[in-house]
Amino acid sequence: MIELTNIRHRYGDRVVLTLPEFQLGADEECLILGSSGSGKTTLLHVLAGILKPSEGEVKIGGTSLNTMNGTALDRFRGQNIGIVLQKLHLIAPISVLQNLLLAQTLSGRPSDEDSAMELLENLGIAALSKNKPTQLSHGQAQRLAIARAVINQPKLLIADEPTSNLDDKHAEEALQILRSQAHACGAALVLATHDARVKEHIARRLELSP
Amino acid sequence: MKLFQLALAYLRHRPLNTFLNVILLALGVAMIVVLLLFSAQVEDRLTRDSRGIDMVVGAKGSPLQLILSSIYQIDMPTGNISLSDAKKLIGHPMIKTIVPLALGDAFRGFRIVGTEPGYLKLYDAKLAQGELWSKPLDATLGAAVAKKTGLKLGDTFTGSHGLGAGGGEHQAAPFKVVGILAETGSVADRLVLTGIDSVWKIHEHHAEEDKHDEHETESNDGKEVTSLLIQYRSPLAGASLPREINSQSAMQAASPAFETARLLSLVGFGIDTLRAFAIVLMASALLSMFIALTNTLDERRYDLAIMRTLGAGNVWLFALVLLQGVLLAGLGALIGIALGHLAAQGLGMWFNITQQMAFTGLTWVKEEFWLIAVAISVGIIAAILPAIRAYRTDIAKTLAKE
Repeated sequence: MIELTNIRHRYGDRVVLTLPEFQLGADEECLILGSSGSGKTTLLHVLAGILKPSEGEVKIGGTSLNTMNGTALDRFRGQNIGIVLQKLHLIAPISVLQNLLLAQTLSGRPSDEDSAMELLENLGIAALSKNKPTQLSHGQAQRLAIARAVINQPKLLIADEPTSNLDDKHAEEALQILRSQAHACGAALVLATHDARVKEHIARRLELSP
Repeated sequence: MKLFQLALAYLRHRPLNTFLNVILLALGVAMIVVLLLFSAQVEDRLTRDSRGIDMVVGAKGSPLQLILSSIYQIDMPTGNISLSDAKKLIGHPMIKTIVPLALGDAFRGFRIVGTEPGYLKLYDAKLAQGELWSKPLDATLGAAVAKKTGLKLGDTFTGSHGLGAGGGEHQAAPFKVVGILAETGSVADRLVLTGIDSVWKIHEHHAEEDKHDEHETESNDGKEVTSLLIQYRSPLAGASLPREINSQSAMQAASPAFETARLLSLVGFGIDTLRAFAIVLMASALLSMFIALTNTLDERRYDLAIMRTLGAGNVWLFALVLLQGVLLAGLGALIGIALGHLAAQGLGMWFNITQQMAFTGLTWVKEEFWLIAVAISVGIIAAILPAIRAYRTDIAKTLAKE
């Protein structure tokens, strides 16, 4: 599902990321570990198709991101890659349901309220569908952010520190939801973390060193 | 989830900010609407009242005053001219028609004008009820006079001396209402029309009482009129006739077209000043909108980056920000136009009380469509820089800054 070959990224003269090879199949899970400054965020951005590496090739679902530009890349990203960031950045002025409908629209697909409600149902926040994101608890907001990342059935689901700032119970829950949702879409799941609680659950890991 | 819905949601998310920007623009627009309506109606009124009158002849003095008093019935006359002088113009080869006016009295603020039936032809005035004056002290009322005073056919009233309300009343010579005119939308609506001999009769009576006038009333010598409204036989007359009158008689000739243009340029200065003020208001609305959009853009940098990760192209973000500017401006323009018409109508009702001029907010002028276009351009100009910044959002850099 994901194939990275000879990735190298530089900011100016400084090389921030070197990764000769990385592969991850559909429905597989992998942790990205490393201290800050090890290039974790850079790798996530490369995987997410929002940053072009200085060198190397990124293939997702058999499609090379290197050859895509502009709108084609935006559309590909919207349809194939789901991202849950450390800060959730839900769109505050619109409702919980509308956040999902917006994600559908932006991916270039017609919005489908039924499937969005079904997803909210599965995540236990359907009752809040008309509320604004600011009215959600942190756990509920995280679930919405995950819902937004998987609403378009991505091939790759990326989460950046999804369990930081969460207590044990909620961390466990967030991890379970991410894994089950990725599994439901048949997506590859990539988690950047340094949380020991996450490491207990997922065996495969990619260790980055500065 | 449509682009439009999202843009609207962002505006509603900051209601105070949105309200401030909308109202600032609306005030500028409203002011311009009032000015447009006012100048259009004043101009329309001025040209309508003076249409068909090529020249006014009256006593020497200010030509503008002569025009204002004889055509628009708003200023004091420059004085009177003797009937014998006026009669010299009758039969002049360059003159088609002469309508004499005798002013001097008023009824509850409406002027009593002694004239001839030719006056009605100037304004296409038709009788709604009754008939024209035929005997001395017969009066035919303009539509507005009948409406305001409630006088009916057969009623009598007494004029008061002087052109304002509250002069001494001519109790001994009451007028009788013999006719009421249909509405013309011109100065004729606000006048009490009667024969010239009625005016003479009242003042001869008046003069006898006061023992001021010793002239023989039967001869022309003692009789006076205020002014003459004249139509040329050909436009060529304008080149020589006024000069002839001004240099060779005790009377003066004034051109309504020329004096009206002069008046409009005087009034126009005030309108220009107000218009400049309204433009300053609109410019400050532009600036305030620009600042508001720029500020909210800073707050929403991450929102925009997130939308990019969800598949939004940069053109879409550009459109999102631009649309907010256009929505603010469109809303401001609509509210401004509504406000402007409301204010114009309010002013009109107030004007109506002072009886000087009918003014209404219930008409439209085509410049208002331009005004909407200008307002929306203001929105686009205010939003274009923020929109370009949104277009250029660097997702990776923005997200990495958290």
